Amino acid sequence: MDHLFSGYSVTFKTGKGSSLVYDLKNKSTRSLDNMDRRKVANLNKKGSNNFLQKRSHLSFKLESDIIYKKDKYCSNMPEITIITHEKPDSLLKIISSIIDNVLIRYPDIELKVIDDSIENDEKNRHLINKIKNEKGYKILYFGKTEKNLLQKNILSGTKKNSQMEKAISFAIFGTHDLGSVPGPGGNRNSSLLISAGKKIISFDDDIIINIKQHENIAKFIKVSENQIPEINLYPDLNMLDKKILNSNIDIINYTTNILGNFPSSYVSSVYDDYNTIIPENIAFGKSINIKAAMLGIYGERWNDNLLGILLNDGYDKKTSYKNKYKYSQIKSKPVSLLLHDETIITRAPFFVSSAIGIDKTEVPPFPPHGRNEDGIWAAIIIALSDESYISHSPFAVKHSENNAKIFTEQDYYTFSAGFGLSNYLLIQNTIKNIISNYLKVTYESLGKSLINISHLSDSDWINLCHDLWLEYAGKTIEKLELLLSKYKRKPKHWAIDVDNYISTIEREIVVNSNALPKELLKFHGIQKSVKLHKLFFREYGELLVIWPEIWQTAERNNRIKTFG
Amino acid sequence: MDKKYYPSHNKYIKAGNNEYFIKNFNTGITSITGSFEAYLLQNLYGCRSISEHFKLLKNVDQYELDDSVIKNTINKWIKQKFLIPEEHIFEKTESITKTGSSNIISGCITCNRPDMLKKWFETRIQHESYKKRKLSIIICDDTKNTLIKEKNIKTVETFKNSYQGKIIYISDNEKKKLFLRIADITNSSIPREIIDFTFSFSFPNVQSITSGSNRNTLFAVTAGNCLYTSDDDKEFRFFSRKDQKKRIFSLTDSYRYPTNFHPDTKLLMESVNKVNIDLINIYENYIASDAVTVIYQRANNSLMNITAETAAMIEKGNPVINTICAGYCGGRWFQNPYLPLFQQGDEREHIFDEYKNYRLIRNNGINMTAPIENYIIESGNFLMGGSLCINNKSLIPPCLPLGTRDDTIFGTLFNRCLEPGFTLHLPFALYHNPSVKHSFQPENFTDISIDTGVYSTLIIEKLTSSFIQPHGKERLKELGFRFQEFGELKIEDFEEQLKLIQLGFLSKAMNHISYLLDLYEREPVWWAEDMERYYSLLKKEALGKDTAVPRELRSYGTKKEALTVFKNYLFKCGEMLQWWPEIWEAAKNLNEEKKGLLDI
Repeated sequence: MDHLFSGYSVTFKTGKGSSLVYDLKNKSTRSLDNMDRRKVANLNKKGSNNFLQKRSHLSFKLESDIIYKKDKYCSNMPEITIITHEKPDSLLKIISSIIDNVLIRYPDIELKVIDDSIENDEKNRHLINKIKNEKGYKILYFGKTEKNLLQKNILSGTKKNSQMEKAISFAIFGTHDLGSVPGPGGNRNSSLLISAGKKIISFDDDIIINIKQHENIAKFIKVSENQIPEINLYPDLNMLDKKILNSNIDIINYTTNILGNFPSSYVSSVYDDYNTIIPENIAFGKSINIKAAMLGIYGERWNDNLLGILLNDGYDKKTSYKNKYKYSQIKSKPVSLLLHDETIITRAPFFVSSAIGIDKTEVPPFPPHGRNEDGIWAAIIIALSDESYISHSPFAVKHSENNAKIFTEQDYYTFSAGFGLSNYLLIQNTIKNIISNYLKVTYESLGKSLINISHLSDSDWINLCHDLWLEYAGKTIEKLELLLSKYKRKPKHWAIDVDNYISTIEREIVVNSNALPKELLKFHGIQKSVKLHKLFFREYGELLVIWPEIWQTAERNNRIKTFG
Repeated sequence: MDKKYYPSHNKYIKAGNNEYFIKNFNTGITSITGSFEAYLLQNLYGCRSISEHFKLLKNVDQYELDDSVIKNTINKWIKQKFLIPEEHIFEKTESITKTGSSNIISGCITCNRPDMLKKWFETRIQHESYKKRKLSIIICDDTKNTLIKEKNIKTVETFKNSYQGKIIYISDNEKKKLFLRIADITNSSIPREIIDFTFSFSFPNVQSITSGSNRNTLFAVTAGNCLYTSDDDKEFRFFSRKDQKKRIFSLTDSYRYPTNFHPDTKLLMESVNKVNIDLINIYENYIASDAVTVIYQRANNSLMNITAETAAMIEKGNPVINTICAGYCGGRWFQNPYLPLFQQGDEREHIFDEYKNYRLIRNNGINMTAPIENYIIESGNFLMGGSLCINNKSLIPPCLPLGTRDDTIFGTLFNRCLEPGFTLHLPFALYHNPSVKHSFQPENFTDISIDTGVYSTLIIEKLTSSFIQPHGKERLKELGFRFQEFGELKIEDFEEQLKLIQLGFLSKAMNHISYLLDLYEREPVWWAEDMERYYSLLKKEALGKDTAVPRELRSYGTKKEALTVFKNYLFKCGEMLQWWPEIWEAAKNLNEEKKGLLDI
């Protein structure tokens, strides 16, 4: 009966109630008849001893001690990077907070500032040099000049050709043609290459290392196929502050230790909520490879999508939305808390890259244009290997973004596809197509498939984007209706907003070209927007195909520098 | 007469609990509608009058809606273009220039059957269809045995003397000439190994069916013309159903020939009428014709069963009839002795209820495959290569060189990759000589392994299922890339893929057996026992550890060696699919410049 729990299998129906199950791990086929199905149904009844015994063989709880032990960390010194763009004041704040909270404890850690500012690059360079000289820590600045050098170094270590040169340039700087869609992806890719082969802890320049946690942190780590951390929204920081406590966790140690491989022997004992889906890997006793770790975030909002405000399903929703005035504050300028009370290890591609850890093994390149680059990056990580997981920490850093745009009523009457969302949908759809053919998702297969779709005619491209956007819109409406039902349309002011927004979605989706990225449509006509959108996919596809060679060359260069 | 309307081709996307987004592919417009209305809309099909659509909706109306509500809804749909006037479909066909009378070249693929080839000639060159047109004939011979080959050459020479048209014999030597000419016209840009693979590949040390490569030769030699290809065991004599009435044309999709089994030739002949038709004339009239014009000229109500998808396909272009096929009457064409057990419909009782007849059919079913009474134009991928006319004026796909099902593969590639088109199924069957069909042997009832032909078909279906680019030669090339990727898989991954494909195939058959056993309540008992035996065999094959290796290669060294040979074959197929448009174009240019084998 073991195969019943091995989710990593393919089932073929062979008649009423019977099927053939192919076990991908053992490469064997079993037959499942009506009798087996009845047994499963009985086992699944809550409280069945038989079921619990079965589950005990397939336990899925990681002992949390392993990530708090320091011995693992000592041999894996991480590098810290700050991703910055035109915010010298914020940059100064985060450097100060890293010095005070991290470098003072670990003075040997290298802090690398990756900057793609154009107006403030000299100012930032000067600032870094000044701090470095004053404080004596290993703080390095990587602006355009250093990135050019990085590109040159990687090229010199590979079979230099124009394709490779173009791909590296795209990874680091993006392409000039898509200048109207900037994003932090290029800066993040520079960080991946500069520190290739090392664990990275990366912060955005609007983060402050002021760690908070919930009062009762669970003493175990939850492994799940699809769980994501909860988000709560508040009208102001005061209300939020009451919900969390200061934490004295060593965030560097915690994040460094959780990254990498966990052999199945680390997985022991049973988690008490046996309704949780058992991850396929755990069922097989495979190792879990945590490729990226996300820290919780609290403070000013960090994305420009207001849908989260209407879709909020956090445990504090009832209280924070109840008062109409407070709700209106949330609607225009929400303060967010993205934090769970336990460590979650998941394969859900939910990822916010403001404060993250990245494993020292190869990870894909971020899309160098547009936002949602982190969600796309996480989706690709998960698709590339069934052992790849993402972790969410029960500790949060502060997000301080004073320039966040205030949402207006007008924004609640707009529903358009952003470059990041559109790319996410297209890439996920491509991954789905590869998997539906039982083929493995690799850098090459994904890259080639993206290049392939970029060859679609303009009208087919618009249709594809529109089809995916419609599905997204349909699912969004479904979620909103579920929430209306769950909260019995209370409070009323929120329910009216949801109703209005559903109408907005229904109004906007009927125009096919609305499915094209709004960032492109803002500056270009439909035809040019399509061409640029396809160009992005071709270039990103080409980068993915060649990325393993780029990354491995960078890793080799770094190793030679370190040990040579 | 009432004005008729056909439904638009829509995509339905659920938007919450009560609504759907409906994307109308005919107009490109997206709209929102309630769940119930979307449900009603999905039940529309065929080009019908308002009252006929009304009747359809009344039958699916589980909520007993008031008649006026349905009528108002239909009127609303007409305004919204969810129902489109019939004339719109014909407007699209006005620019068609096809006026019939295509030049047709007759081709025959033969291998190791000299007596059959002789019969093939005898029934054709005396037939008016051939005689009055002096139809050019090409014989593609894949025989390897020198003595049989000499016999075939002698047969060809004999008939050359008594026939006024051109007869061209093609075997290995002539193929080499073709290769040299293709190399010459393309400045040797197409790798020779690809050419060899396309037209004359066979597995080393394994006996395999090579009708695919033989057919590819016919395709290349006749590129730029219309080709009537018929197998060496199809005689030029015609039969129709005895109960056939007035013949009309209709348009549909996903059509399958009804298959009728008979215990012996005598009983088969009692159920058919011998008919005298000018088959070539039918081909000349309809091949490369616009499908809708054909049925519009031929019959009223012929779009009664048109699906929304097919109607939208016609609206977007002018799909033509690319292939025309006839049925078979006589010897069985299938290799699986269990196939007749799947017979359904009225014929079933007649066949299965008497044990003696049942046994005769099961052991060697005489067979007739022909439509009951209509000419059917369909947009699916099912066609039969035994007697097939092909519009080879524009790019057609190749066959994969080896294995059974070369015609199914050809049809699937046509349907999945190239420009949308139709197949016309004729209500006539050619005589299929049963004399060479031996009764099934005991081993035939136990060997249910999958051969390379079946695998190839399933792989094409799998790889093309997620294609999103428009139909055309680029799709063929893309499929070539996918085949190469598939052929480059690590051996253990490759075996796993084959196993999954095999399981998909076997489980489908098992599912169908379960369904039929339930449907007929396991009666008659001898039939049910055979079905259960077949089910057990399928299950055993599915559960077997090393059963993913194709049938022809099971005796080929170790499992690893056999899989490696198949892997390499699929990789080569990938290369062939990528080069095929260039090969075909070169062959067409040769013919246009009178440098091809047609002008020897």
